This record gives sequence, C-alpha cells and structure tokens, in this order.
Amino acid sequence: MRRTAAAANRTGLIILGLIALIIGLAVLAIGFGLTAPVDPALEAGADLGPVASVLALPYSALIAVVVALILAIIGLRWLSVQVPRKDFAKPFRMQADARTGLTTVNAEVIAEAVAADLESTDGVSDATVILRGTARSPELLIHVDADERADIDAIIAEVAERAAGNAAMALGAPLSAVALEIGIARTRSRRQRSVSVQ
Amino acid sequence: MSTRLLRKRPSRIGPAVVVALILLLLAVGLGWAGIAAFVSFGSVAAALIEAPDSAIAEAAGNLHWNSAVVIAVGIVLALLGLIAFILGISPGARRILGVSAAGSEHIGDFEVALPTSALSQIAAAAADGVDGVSGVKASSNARSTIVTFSTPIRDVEPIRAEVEAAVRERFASISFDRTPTVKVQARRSQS
Amino acid sequence: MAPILDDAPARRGGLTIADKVVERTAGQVLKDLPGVGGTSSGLFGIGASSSLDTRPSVDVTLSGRSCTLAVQLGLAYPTPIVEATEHVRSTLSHEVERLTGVTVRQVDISVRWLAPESSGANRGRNRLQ
Repeated sequence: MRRTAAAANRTGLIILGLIALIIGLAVLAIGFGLTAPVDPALEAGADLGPVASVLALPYSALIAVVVALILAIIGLRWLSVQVPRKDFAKPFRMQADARTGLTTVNAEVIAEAVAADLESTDGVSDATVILRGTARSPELLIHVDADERADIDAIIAEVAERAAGNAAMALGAPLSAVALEIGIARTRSRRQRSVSVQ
Repeated sequence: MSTRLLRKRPSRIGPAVVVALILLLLAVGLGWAGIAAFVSFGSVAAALIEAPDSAIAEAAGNLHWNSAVVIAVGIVLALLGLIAFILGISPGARRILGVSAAGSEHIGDFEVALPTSALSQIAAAAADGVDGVSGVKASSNARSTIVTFSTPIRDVEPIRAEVEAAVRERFASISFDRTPTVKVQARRSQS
Repeated sequence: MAPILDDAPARRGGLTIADKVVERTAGQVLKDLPGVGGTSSGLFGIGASSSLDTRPSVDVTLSGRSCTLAVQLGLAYPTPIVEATEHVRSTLSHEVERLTGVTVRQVDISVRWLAPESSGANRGRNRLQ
C-alpha cells in the first residue's frame, strides 16, 4: 500500500550488478589467460604491479576522495528512499467560492474517518486508509484486517457499498480508484479451541 | 487509470539496503585512504600509495593474475554481480492474489487483493476447524497453498480428506480471480 | 429634557468592538449549529478530546469595520463536507454581521476531524461495544 522505491532499487541492482559482474569476469579472464592473445601484458602469470602503479600516480588520492564522496552520496540517498512512504494527498481545498473563504481538509482527517467507519464493519478488526489524488478525483488505499473466519466477499461488498459510499458522500465526488488489501488479524490463541477428553 | 495501486511484486528493499551499505563502506575506505595520503604527503597532489615501497605496491607485485586469491576474488565479484543483476531483472514472486469485486457506483476503479500470508492464515483457520486436527501450518504462493496438519489419530486419511474439503470450501467462498489449489499433508503427532 | 435618540453612528460616539466580542459571538453561533463540533484543549494538549458537543475554535482578525474569521471545526461523518462548511460559512457571516455589525469578509474553515455522529455524548444512539 505504501510506496516504495521499487524501480530505483531494481535499476540500481541491475547497474551495480553488471559492473561487479564485468569486473569479476575480467579478472577471471586475465587469470585464466584468455586475454594474453589480445595483449601480452595481460598474461595469466603477470603480477598485479601495473594495477598498483595506477594508485601511485599523483593526485590519485584526490580522485579517491572525490569518488568516495560520490559513492557516499549515492549510498546515503539510496538508503534514505527505502523507508516506505504513505504519500497522502495535499490538503484538500473544498470551498464553493474562494472569495468568501477557504475550506481546508487534511487527507489524513478523511482517511481516519474512513478507517473508523470500516472498523465498524462486521468481521473487520482493524483498518488503515491512505487518501491520495485530489478532492475531485480521490483515490483510497485501504488495508483491512479481517477475522480469520470472516466472510471475505461480504467485507468487500461492504467496503464497496457503504464505506466507499460514505467517503464519496463526504467528499462530494465518486472515488476515482479504490484499492483494498485484505489481511487476516492474528487471533488470540488458536489453542483455545482444542479439547482434551480423558 | 492504468497504474495499479497495490504492489504485486517485491520491491527488493533488502538487497538494495545491502548494496547501499557496501557502497558506503567502499566510500569510507576510499575516503579514509585518500585523506591519510593527503596528511602524510602534505599536499592534495598526493598519490594514494607510495610505489614501490608501500605494502600495497609490494603485495601487488607479488600477486599474479592466476593466483588462487585473485581468481577467488574474481569469482566472488562475478557471483555477487550476477545475483544483484538477477534480483534486479527478475520480477520476483507475486505477493498478492487478485480478488474479483463488483465495485459500486461510488467507485471508478476497484482493485481487491489478498496477500499470500492472509491466504495461508485463512487456510490454516479452516483446517483448524476440523475435528481431530491438533496443529496446522500453511504456506502459500499466488497459485497454491500447502496445508500441513498434525493429528494424534492413527488413520489420517479421512481427516486429510476432511481438511482438504474444508479448505477448498473456504477458498470457494471467496471470489478469487483464480482460486488457488490446495494440497494437504498430514503428520502424526505423538500423544 | 428627554434625550433624543439619534441613530446615526457618527453622532453617537465611537463604539469599539473588541476581537474577543466577535470571537465569542462567532463561537456562540457555531455552538448552535447541529453536526458541527470542536476540540477541547485539555491540559497542555493532554486529554484533548473532540466531540460534536464542544464549541469549534474561532480566530478573528479585525481590520476597521470588517473582519476575517478562521474556524477550526469537526464535522459528523458522513456529511457532505462542502455543503456542511458552506452552511457554516454563510450562517456565521450573517449572524456575526447581524449581532455585532461587523462585516465578515472571509471565513476560512479548517476541518480538523470527522467523526461518526454517535460519538457525541447526547446525540444519536449510543454505540454498543
């Protein structure tokens, strides 16, 4: 329900994976002598001295620090987008005429009301709601925790008819999209059911 | 609206965090080495290592491309790269099951889904309702559920059939886009 | 000699209406509106509670003989928010103008909560737990 950086993660993994794969394969290719025909210096028995000599060039420390900074920025930015975001809508403006005053409703306020409404549904023990979009075309993302024996289809119908109807009435517009995810509430103890007869 | 609101596939948060942390470690190492070189050389024109008397230069001179260490490093790098690449490319297991829903006049686009974890819990609860079942475990993917129950009764087959019927019936009561298949295994428990 | 009643404000002397007066008046008007509630402040915000029986809070900015009001309120859910707030806005500006003589130019409304009608203590049915 919450937004994650799925696309960024996959692109990052593909790019860095390819880089590591290519370097690894290149090392193996030299090690197994596959590159010797191309360049005699890259022979399997040669030592790694030439690689180290690159690090001994003047200004290489400066380059290392710059590269380190770039890597640090990429790493930190990538880490920071991993926290899933709820991304609520901006506060809704719901006045008839802005000249006589503004009416502001936070999306969280409406989401909370919808969640409270859902929790009064039979078989639903908990609800989380995220509201996105605009006041004219609102989108609701709903997660309900149903009891494990609840009638799932009845809950879906109840969400579609009553909860969505109430939200549409409050907002004064039909909901342009509703996504409903149904989880199952953890019950206190399944063991309670068991009976033992001597 | 064409974009789906519910995420069907894993977003690879775990691997991304690991790779980001590796990047940060590399950055710290490189930055440390670079600054240490500045300090010892006393100028930004410093080289990262002092060839040929530094330990690294010496070690590199003694290492050969076909030595076991270098080959091992190459294999590890290539493998890790391949794993990261596959994690990025492959869509991963679906984590939700679509449920068809009629919607209503208040809703433009209605999308309903059940996570596979919820499916397992529903199956386990249904199986647990059968008499003679003392414990249930269920695991699911987007297409099937495997229910493993334990029972103290010697003749498990009738109970197995009953459990299977109970779970199937429970699944049939939910209008899945594609009803998951059910497989039931019995395990005798000591008691 | 009997005083001659003169209605012209200019000759009657100055009349200053404090912000507080407009604020109290507006609060009273809001209190009488059904389906509209506020949040009681509680001690340092602890124990703050929202209900349809609490008076919504109003901030008044007076400038000359006109004012703007900023109202923070809660509404019963589900109520059409636009209709309900427009009703509050028009009632408020008419009543405040009628009772204090101060022209209300704008009423900004911020809806702070939406709650089912039954959560008000004396309104609606009691909720069965």
